[in-house]
Order: sequence, then C-alpha cells, then structure tokens
Amino acid sequence: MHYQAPVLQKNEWGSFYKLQSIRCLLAVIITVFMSYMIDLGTSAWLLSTACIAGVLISGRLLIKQWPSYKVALIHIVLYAACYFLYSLSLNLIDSNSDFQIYRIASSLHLIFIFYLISLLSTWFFWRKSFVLTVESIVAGTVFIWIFSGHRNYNLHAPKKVISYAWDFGIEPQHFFLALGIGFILLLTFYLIEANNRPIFQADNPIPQVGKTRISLGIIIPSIIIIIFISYASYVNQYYTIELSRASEGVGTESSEGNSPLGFHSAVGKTKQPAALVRLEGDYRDNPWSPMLYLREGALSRYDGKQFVIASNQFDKDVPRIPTGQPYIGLESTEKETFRQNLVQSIYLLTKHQTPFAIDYPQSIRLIKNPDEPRFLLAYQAVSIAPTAQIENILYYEVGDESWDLSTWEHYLRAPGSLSPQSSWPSEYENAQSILDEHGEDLRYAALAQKLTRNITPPVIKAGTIAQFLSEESIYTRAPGHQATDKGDPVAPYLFSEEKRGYCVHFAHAAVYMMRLAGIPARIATGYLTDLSYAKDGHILLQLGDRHAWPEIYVRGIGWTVIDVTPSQAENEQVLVPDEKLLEELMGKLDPVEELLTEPSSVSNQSETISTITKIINKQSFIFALITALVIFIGIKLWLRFGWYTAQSDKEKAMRAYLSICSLLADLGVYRHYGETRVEFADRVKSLFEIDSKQLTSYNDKCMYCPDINFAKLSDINNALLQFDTSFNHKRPKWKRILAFFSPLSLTRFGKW
Amino acid sequence: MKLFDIFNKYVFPWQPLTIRGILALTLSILALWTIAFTQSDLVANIIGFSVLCLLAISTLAALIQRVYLARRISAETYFDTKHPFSRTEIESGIIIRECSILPFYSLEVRKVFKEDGVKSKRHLVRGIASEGKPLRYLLDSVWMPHRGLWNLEALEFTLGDTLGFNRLSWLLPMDKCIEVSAKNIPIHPLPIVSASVSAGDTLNQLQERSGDLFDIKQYDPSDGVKRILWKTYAKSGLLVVRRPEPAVIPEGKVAIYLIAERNDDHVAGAFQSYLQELYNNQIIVIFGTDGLHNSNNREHTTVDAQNYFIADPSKIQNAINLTAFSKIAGTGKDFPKYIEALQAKGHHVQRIIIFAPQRNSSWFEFVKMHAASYSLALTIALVPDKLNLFGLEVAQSNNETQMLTEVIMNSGAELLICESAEALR
Repeated sequence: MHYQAPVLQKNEWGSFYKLQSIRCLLAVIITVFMSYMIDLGTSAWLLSTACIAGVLISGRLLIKQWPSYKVALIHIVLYAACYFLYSLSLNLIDSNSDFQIYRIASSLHLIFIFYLISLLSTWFFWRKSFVLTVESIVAGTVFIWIFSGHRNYNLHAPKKVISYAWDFGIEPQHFFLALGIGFILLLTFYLIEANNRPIFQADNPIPQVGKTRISLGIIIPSIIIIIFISYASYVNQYYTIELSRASEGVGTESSEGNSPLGFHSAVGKTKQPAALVRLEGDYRDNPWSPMLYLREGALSRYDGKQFVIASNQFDKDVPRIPTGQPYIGLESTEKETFRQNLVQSIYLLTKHQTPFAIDYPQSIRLIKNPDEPRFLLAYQAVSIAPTAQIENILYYEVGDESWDLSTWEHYLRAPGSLSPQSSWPSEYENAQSILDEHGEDLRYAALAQKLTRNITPPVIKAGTIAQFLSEESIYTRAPGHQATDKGDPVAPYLFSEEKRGYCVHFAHAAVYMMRLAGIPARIATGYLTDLSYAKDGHILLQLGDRHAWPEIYVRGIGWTVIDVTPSQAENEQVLVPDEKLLEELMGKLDPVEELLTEPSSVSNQSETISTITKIINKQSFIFALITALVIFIGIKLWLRFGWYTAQSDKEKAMRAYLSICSLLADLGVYRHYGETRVEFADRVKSLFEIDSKQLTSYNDKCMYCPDINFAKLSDINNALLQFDTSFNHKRPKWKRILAFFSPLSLTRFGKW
Repeated sequence: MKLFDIFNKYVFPWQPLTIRGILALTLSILALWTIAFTQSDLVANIIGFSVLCLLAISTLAALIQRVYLARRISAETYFDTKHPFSRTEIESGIIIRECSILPFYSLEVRKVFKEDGVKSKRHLVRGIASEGKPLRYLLDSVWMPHRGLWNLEALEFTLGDTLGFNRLSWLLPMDKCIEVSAKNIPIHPLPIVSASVSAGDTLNQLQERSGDLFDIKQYDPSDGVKRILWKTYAKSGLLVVRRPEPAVIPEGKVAIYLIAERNDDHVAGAFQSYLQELYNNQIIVIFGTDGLHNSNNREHTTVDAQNYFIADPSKIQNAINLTAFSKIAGTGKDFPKYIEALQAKGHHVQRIIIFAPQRNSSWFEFVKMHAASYSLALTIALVPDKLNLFGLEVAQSNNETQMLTEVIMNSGAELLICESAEALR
C-alpha cells in the first residue's frame, strides 16, 4: 500500500521515551513492592533489572519494526530453553540433592518470567490502545488482592504492613489509607501520561497545545486530592469506631454520656496487637486465674436505652485521664486483706484514649519508651489487685455504707426500676414487651424477680443471674437481632428463645437484673486475657481481647467481677497471641523500667499544644520540608530548563524567555508595572549589559502572532547562548548558583 | 470497540463513558459494594471511591464542556486548490474559533467526508488559544484515493479527558467540496487522430517518417511485427521498435471518449496528458465519458447536465473528476448516447479515440457494436497498468490484457498503447 503511517512522527518520540522511562520506574516500584509483600524467592533488584530489560528491549524491537511473530518465536524458544533448565534442575535435586542448582534455575526461571511479562506488556502497550485499560484494571485488582488480608478489621494480617506502620509510627489503618491514595494518584498520573500516547503503525493525532491554564491545572488536582483525603479521614473515623465491632463490640469512647459499646454484629475478631503488659510482681491469688481482667472504663449511668459513662461523681476508681498523663488514685477504703499491690508495665501498641490496668490503679506513671516507633507510649500502673475468691465473699453485703441515696439510686437504676416492685408482673411472654408508665420494659424486673425469688444473699443473687445467663446464652459475634421499636438493644437478646449475643449483651442484661434484684452493679470495659499464653509475666493484648463485663459492689471489697461465660458458643475464634511477636517485643524491653523524670512534659502542656505537637512531629515536619524542597526545586528546574521539553519551536522560544526572566527575577530584576518587554530588555541591557533582546523579540512575536513561525530551534539556541554569554560574563559563578535557590522568581510567577 | 462506538453514536449519543470508563465504574462499584463495605477493606474502599469520584468529576465536567463547546465553537476548512491531486498529500487546514479546553481534557478534530476512502489526519487540541487570538489553526493534509469531487460533510469533534474515561462526539456540519484530479501521467505523444478524416489531416508517420536512430523503445505486441528492428535484434538479441514521432499539426476536431472507473486514475492521468498535447496543438476536443449526464454534485460543478459531451476545454477536467463517482464509470454504457448527442448537435464524427485501461475488456464489445452501428472507426488508446505510477490498487490480469490487445487488433480498430515518457529516458 502506498499510504502508510510512519513508525512514529518526529514530535512523538519525546512522548515515547518519557513513557518508557516511566514504565521502567513503575516496573521497579511494583517489583520491589511485590518482593517486600510476597516472598518471591529471589532478589528484588534482579527482578527489577529483568523488568527494565523487558521494557527497553521491547521498545527497541518496536523501533526496529520487528514483526510480532518474530518476537513471539524468539521468546518462545528462549522460554523453552529456560524451562528446560528449570526442569533439569528439578531432576538434579531429586538425584543429587543439589539445592543450589535448583535455586539458581528457579531464580532464572522467575527472572525470565518477569522479563517476559514486562516485554509483552510493553510490546502491546505501544501497539494497542486498549492495553492501558487492561493494565490499569489488572494493577488495581492485584493491589487490592495483595492487601486483602486486612479485611474484616484484621489489620495485623499483612504483617509487613503492621511492621512498617510501627516503624513509621503511624496507625495501621492510616497506612492502608495512605497506600490506597498513593496508588490511585500514581495510577491517575500514569493514565494522564499514557492515555494519548502515540501508537506504533497507527495514525496518531497531531497535537495542538494551546496556552495551559496553570491555575486551573493546579486547582483541579488539588481539589481532587482534598476530596480523596477528606474521604480517607471519614473512612478512618468510621473504621476506628467500627473496629470496636471486631474488638468484641467494645470501643474506646471515654467521654461522659457516651458508650463505647456496640450492639451490632461484630463481623470479625481482630488479632491486632493492642499492648504489651508486663507483670512486675507475682499475682498468685488471682481469683479468675488463668483469666486476667484489665479495666479501662466503667458504665454505670442508665440513659433509658443502655449504660453510658457516668459523671465524675460516680465510678471514682476509674482513672479518667488521657493516656500519657500521670495519675494518683484516691486512697482505697477497702479491706487490704482481700487485695494486693501489683505493679504492671504497659506498653501501648495502638492508640488508647484512656489507660487501663488491673482493677483499681492507685497510680499511673510514665516510663521510658524502650522503642519509640514500635510502642506508642509506656506507663507503669500500681494496682490494688483483688485476691478474694468468690466462694469467700458469698455472704457479704453489697453497696457502701457511705453512699448517699442518690448514689444508691444511681447504681440501682435499670429498666423498670422507677416502677414500684408491686407493679412488676409475675408472668410474661418473651415476645411481648410490658411497658410501665415511663415506657420501660418490665420484663427485666419480672425475670430478675423470678430468678432471685428465694435467694437472700445479694452476692449469690448476682451469681445466680450470671449463671442463668451463662447457661442459657449462646455466644456469637453475629447475634442477628436489632433494637426494639423503643430503641432497647438488650431485650431482643434476653427475651428471645436462643439468647444469642456477645459480652455487650450479656453485661447489660446481667447488670439490669442485678440492679433490679437490689445489687449495685455496673459494666466495666477493658481487656480480658488468658494468662496461659503469657510468657515470663509478659502478656500480649490484642484488640480482639477487648471485653465488657458486669461488676457488683461488695461491701469492704469494692467492685467485683461477676462475669457471664456462656457455655455454648457459635463460630468462636480463639485468639492466640503471636508468640514470635511477643518474643520480639519482649526483647525490646529493658529489664528495669526507667521512670520519666519529667512526666510534666506531657501533662503540663495544654491540650492544644499537645495536639499540635502530635501533628507536627519530627518525622512529618521533615517529610513536609523535603516535599516542599522537592516541589521548589522542581518548579525552579521547570522555569530554568523547561524549554528543553517544549514540543514546538514556538513554545521553546516562549519558555526560553521564561527561563531568562526567572533568572533575572532571582537576581531581583523585574519588569516594572506598565513596562513593555522590549523596554525591560533595553533596561537590562543598559544596566547590566546582559543581552536579552533577541529572545524578547521571539517571545513577543510568538505571543502576539502565534500562527507564524518566527524562530527556528537554532535561532533560539543562538539567542540563549548570546544571553548566557553576556550573563555569565557579568555575574560570578557563586552568585549564579545562589540565584537558583532564590525564591524571588516564584513570587513573580505569571508576571513575566 | 466499533460496536460500542456505533451504540454510542446512534443509540445513546449522550452516554459519555468509554469502555475504560464503564469498566472503571463497574470495578469501583464492585470494589465498594462487594469488598469494601461488606468486608471492611480499606484499600478497596479508597480505590473504589477515588475512581468513582474521578469518574463523576470528569464526566460532569465533560458534559458541561460538551454543551458549552457545541454552542460556541465554529470552524472553517480550507484545502490547497492549486495542487489537489489524488494519491498525494493535499494540504488542508481547519480554523477553529472559541475553542477553549479545560486542563486534563482534549478535543479531537477530524474531517468527515461523505465518500469513503479519504485519509484525513486527526488533531488533538488542548488548552486555550492565546489571549486576543481566539482562532486556532490546525494544519494538516488529506489524501484522496482517486480523482473526484469529494464532499466534506462535517467536522467531527470528540471531547475526551486525559484519563480516557469519557468521550463525547458531535458533528459540526460543513458544506465543502474539493475537486481532486488525477495527476497527469507524462506519456509519449500519441498520434493526433482527427474525428473527421480528410486528405492531409494525418500523416502516416510509420511509412513516411523515420525517427532518430536512438528513438527506440522496447517491443510491444501492439507495435506490430513490421516495426521490429531486426538488425538490432540480430546484434543484441533485444526486440526493439522505432518510436513513431508526433504528427504534424492537423486541423479539425478530435472526439475522445474516456472509459475509466474511479480507481483508473492512471487512465485519466494519461488522457489528461494527451488532452494537454491536443490543447497545445490547438485542437478542438469533443469529450465524452460514462456518467456525465447523471452525476451527482451538480451544485459544485459547471458541467451541463443536459449534455453527453463537452467541447468547452475549461469544463473537461471538471467532467473527468465529476464522473469518477458515477456508478457506470468505466463501463462504456454512455457511449451510444455520446454518439447520438454528437450527431444531434451536428458534429460529423467518423473516428473516435477511446481511452481505456488495458486490463479491463468488458466494455469493448459493447463499444465496438455501437461504433459499428454508426459506422464509426475507433482508435483505442489503452493505458497499461504499468503506467500506474501512484501505486493504484488494481487487479492485474495478464491474460485479460493480452486477450484485449489481440481482440482489438483483430477487430480492425486502431490500437495505441500509451507509453510512459519517463520510461523512455
């Protein structure tokens, strides 16, 4: 055929080489990234080299106009040879057990596959326009697949990610969000660059680039990035709250009037490490051994639907301080015979709003963080840990003698408690709620009455209620019921046939009935861990260990755990802490903890300053500084040498003018208001003997007569040479170097 | 891909998404609703939302821009009318007004011709025109496969984003016609055969004139055995003949009928050269060809629709191009009407020169029959395919070529074979 499109037009080669470079870079990034995420069994840099070779060789073959069949044939032969070598090594390993040969052959095989993928994708990339779509979709899908392990709040699953998150000192979910945004920005950049690429042996369109609206060009991507980051913040906020669903429905909310508990289905159970606890003493008389309760907060105010955090007037034993602050507790009024002092060092691995410790912490002091990025914070708590076995306190009274009426009312408030006991029904049906005049369900009272009718000791009453719930309930993280029309989330659990629920439901139901049986009770939140998995007194707490449990106030002993432990469980997943991680973390601890001499450095600062310090920490500051510097240098390079990349002579002339103007601006020489460019060039000539007239002339002609080609490349080069000679002659070298780092030209942007 | 374009063009022209856009939309919805929301996948959530967001923003901006541009944009086209030859790059251009494109968008501009086969460049316009200069000049070239009157129906604008998610096309109607001629093929001068034979009109050059010794050419069967230079053959083993020299200028008219279909530009080209020679010799040409009477594109031509022949020199070139798209071009079907028209107008014609391609013989019997019925002598100038200097895609059939030559020679018609003047040098 007479008419045939050439391989590529003259103006398309720039685009070709630029995209080839980008592809090489992307190939290296993807390969190194994959090697770190998946163990590929060979060096990431060898694989990267193979990918780069694939891209470059493919490009070379395209330029040489090799037909597809020839390329395919040669590579099939090469692959066959490679596969033969690989198979041979497999046989050798059977006969001679020469593992080294197998490893080399296996690596070669893998390297060749990477090379082949890179070569084929590049080959088709330059020949078919749809390949970009396929590449993008495959890249997106693979990226999502690589990180699929973290689904359902299992942020610990991709171990490399959590390790990096610790190394960088950021939350794992932030790491995932940043990865997602980074990927999409990279993909967008790649699509923008590659979408209008020239296709080999095709009629490519002739580009006609007009004046670019730089302001709009910056504003649009900025808005898009802001939208992405806003959405990521929203997802982060939502995810952080929802993470509690995977933490047995126990979140980290600590403000008064709110509840950290969730009644929804807890879809997952995360093994994400939350903290490392080291018991500094022996806790032989642990009444719940081998289990250990670490209390973080307490919910004792009934808000008409559920329990929420009460005001400071109540639950004074709970330290209501943010983590990172020291704490001195009130003196204990309880009998010390049933308690012992116990010191614990706690190293936080994820963010906690409030500190936690075993039972009553008497004091919390900050200790030196042994590994800054790995541990967010370290503190030491001294607790008066309970030692009373439940059998020994069965006949104890409940409540405190010093409590006033309002305190009693507070700790006995439950649905139906406002109605007189005489109005409580003796018979009821599970399916139908019986509401009193306050709109509260009387079935709780009826059930409590039924269970404790013939029992007098309050502790035994509480035990009976807990035992009933333990026997009747089915533990499941997917209860599959919703709150009633009145917004009561507990009734659908307690008054159903199966009684399906998890700790949040059990604790609520138990505390309701205990209070209605006249026992002051509350819900405690925190961690419940199995000491069987502890190692030398070190316990690795996981977010899946979060728990909510009922407590009653036993006179002279204090708040005592009466937990519900259902005998039946559905889809129960035993959380076994990662032993390797535990050992690794243990290795980072010092044998003796060093107390921080200036704990006030955190506590004395105002909350605002603390927040600002958190935001502008050292790393982010350095990162921001480096980013700003890179952007600055990028703009300066573009201003100074951007004319090299111009596609047409006309554009080149205009950018060359921009280059000299920015150079002059850096030295403080601007065009005055109302001064024409020619006048400016004259002034520069007369003042500094620097000749910029020729380039000014080209620029003006290009600006005002864009349709006519005035200057050829050689003319522009000559004009630039003329300028450079006169400029270099007049300015010492050090001044010229310093001028590059001058920000003055940026202030004149667009006013050339 | 083409099916998708057809669907977009005819079924749902306002559907802006490309296949990539639709795939991105599908995948983002899948990522969000089947992975991100149900399995709490943070990466899928961010990627799904971001792609959806990019799609929404780019689509909205594309639709707004499409409405704006379609209302504001206006364009003119021009072609190089000095050298509009087929099978060559004809310089052309488009001037667009009010064409400001948002960053990250580009506008593709393409010429749409009514007839198929035109190779026209596409332009990718980005950014805004320079301040104070609202016009944008898009220079390119078009390539026509053969002669004819080509209609530029519209300019097709396609707005797309740089991510390749959206693509919106619309047409700006244009009513422009470009007349493309076949390039003259320099041929060795043919004898001027007058339409009416009278004493002294022609000179028998074969008998009376002897050419220069070096004015020889390779033997062709149409040359006749008598013209072979046997002495040369004996010395060199090459069959060569002496080339006949141009005739002395005769007076009178020459009647020529052109049989050339649209792809027979070499026939038209050779004929045009011969025509030029005739004009140089101030001969009146009575021209006829197939489809002259019923050709389309009348509004773009000065050729009289009522006539089956043209005697006006200024209109003959126009007629050659005009008739290229005729369905009966190259068949010889209008030949009887041409003779009738000549006679009706009082042109006493006794001999007609027929220019035709050498490879095609289908017309010959028909033409011969009608010429015989009007007692007309035929001089048939066959243009061999080897004169197809422009790489025309024509079916080559050596057997048919050989057969036609023999048939013509046997029929008593005078046979002339056009020879490239270039080949003689």
